[in-house]
Amino acid sequence: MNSMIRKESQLSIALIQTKDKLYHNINAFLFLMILHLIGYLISSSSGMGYLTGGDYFDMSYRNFSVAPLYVMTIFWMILQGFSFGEEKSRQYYMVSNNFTAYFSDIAVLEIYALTAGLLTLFSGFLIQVFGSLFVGNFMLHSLYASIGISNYLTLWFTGTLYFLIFGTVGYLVGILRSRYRSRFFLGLLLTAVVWILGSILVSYSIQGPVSLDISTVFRFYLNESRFFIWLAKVLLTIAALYGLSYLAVKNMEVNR
Amino acid sequence: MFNINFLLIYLVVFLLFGTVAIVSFRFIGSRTPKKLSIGLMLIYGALLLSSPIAAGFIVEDASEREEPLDIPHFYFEEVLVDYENRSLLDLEQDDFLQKIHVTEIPLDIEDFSTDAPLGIRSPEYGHNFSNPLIIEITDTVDQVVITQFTQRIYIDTYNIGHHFEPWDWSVASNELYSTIPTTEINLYNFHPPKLALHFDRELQEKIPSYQNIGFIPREGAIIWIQLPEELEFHYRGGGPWRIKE
Repeated sequence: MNSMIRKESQLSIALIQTKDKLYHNINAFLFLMILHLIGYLISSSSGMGYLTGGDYFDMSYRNFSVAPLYVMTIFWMILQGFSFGEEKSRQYYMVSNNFTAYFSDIAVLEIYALTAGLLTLFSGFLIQVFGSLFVGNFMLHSLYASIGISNYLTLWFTGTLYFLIFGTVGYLVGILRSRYRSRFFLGLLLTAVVWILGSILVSYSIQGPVSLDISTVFRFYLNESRFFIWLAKVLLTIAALYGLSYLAVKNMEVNR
Repeated sequence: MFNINFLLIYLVVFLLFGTVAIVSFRFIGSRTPKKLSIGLMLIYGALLLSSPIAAGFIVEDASEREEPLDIPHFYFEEVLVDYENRSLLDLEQDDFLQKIHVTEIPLDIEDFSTDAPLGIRSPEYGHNFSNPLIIEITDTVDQVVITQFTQRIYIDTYNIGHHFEPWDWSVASNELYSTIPTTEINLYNFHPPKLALHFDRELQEKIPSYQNIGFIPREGAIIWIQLPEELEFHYRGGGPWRIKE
């Protein structure tokens, strides 16, 4: 309504809301830092080990990576998306409609994903520095010799888009939950039943390495080594998730 | 590809850690002043941004390590068996071996006679057949010179031979003997995230999901003992006699 009075375009309202949401939720980054701290602890203490010994010989070999940090960040993205979706029903903005609320949500999620991608990209260097300073016999795997700028760009780009997928999934679930309340759990149960029945049917009807479990879903993206096909897969997934959440949010009352 | 089992284990860990984190965040997070949050974030960001530069100075470059040689697993045994055709110089120049340590033990040769020779005892070391001693009688030395070699052993491309503790030789009551200190090696390997090699299948497959470091010849030592010609000695150790005259 304000937009009609002051002739503000919806987009500029959405941008203002984006800025405001970023500032309002700035403590989310503190939460990410806490999760990253836990991630650093796990990655430096739980390296897959190899031990060997003899009368005069004792050797341990530990392997560690930034994987725990990625998992922590994914967890954070899901939570952020989920809480944005949940907040839909208690929007505190006086000037808001479904479009601006939705637009600002996905804009903030995208900014989160970009930030998370950058942070996890650099966390690898931080572990290297701390490892070299404080851990004796710290060494980089020989594969690092063949890793260049393009690989770091890949790491950042793929990381960002994967984080965004997880954030969007969290957002969709949050929206569906706040939209449908009790029916949401029914739907969840139904989805699980359909999924399980589907995977049983698939495993009976198709003789082959096809199954509908989580790792197949992961493989669908992670095993794709052709860049453009991977990009299409990821972008279409994100678009589909956004579309679904927009359909759910479209007729929703914002200011209850 | 991500190791899915690994991921699941971590997801379980999160359920534990994560719950605590969420509860504490919901409790503390909403009350934390925003400026503190921003400040901490800036510090963390600065730390992260400066880490690649620091890594450039501190972290050893993986590409500068020597290419590992393709060494037969029991190369040291081959050398020990073939001792008669080898000289100390050959061993020093052998790319598959590396010199760990040289011990020189000054002796008064006149203290030892045919009645009371210098006893040389090889220590209890693995099995008798793997006794790594080669004794050379030569006129180039006037004291006992003990040179220890080991076979080069690579893990990934890292040579762990540098970490082997040399045997500790000494003479007491007319006997030359050694103690073997325990070699302790703790290695930490940091491998690149698989996402960095997302579009390079060949390299991606080289990332170990479970590290098999292969064969480690713990007993890959060769010990070359040079004795002066005039010295009377008696070998008391177990295992094969390897005396070069």
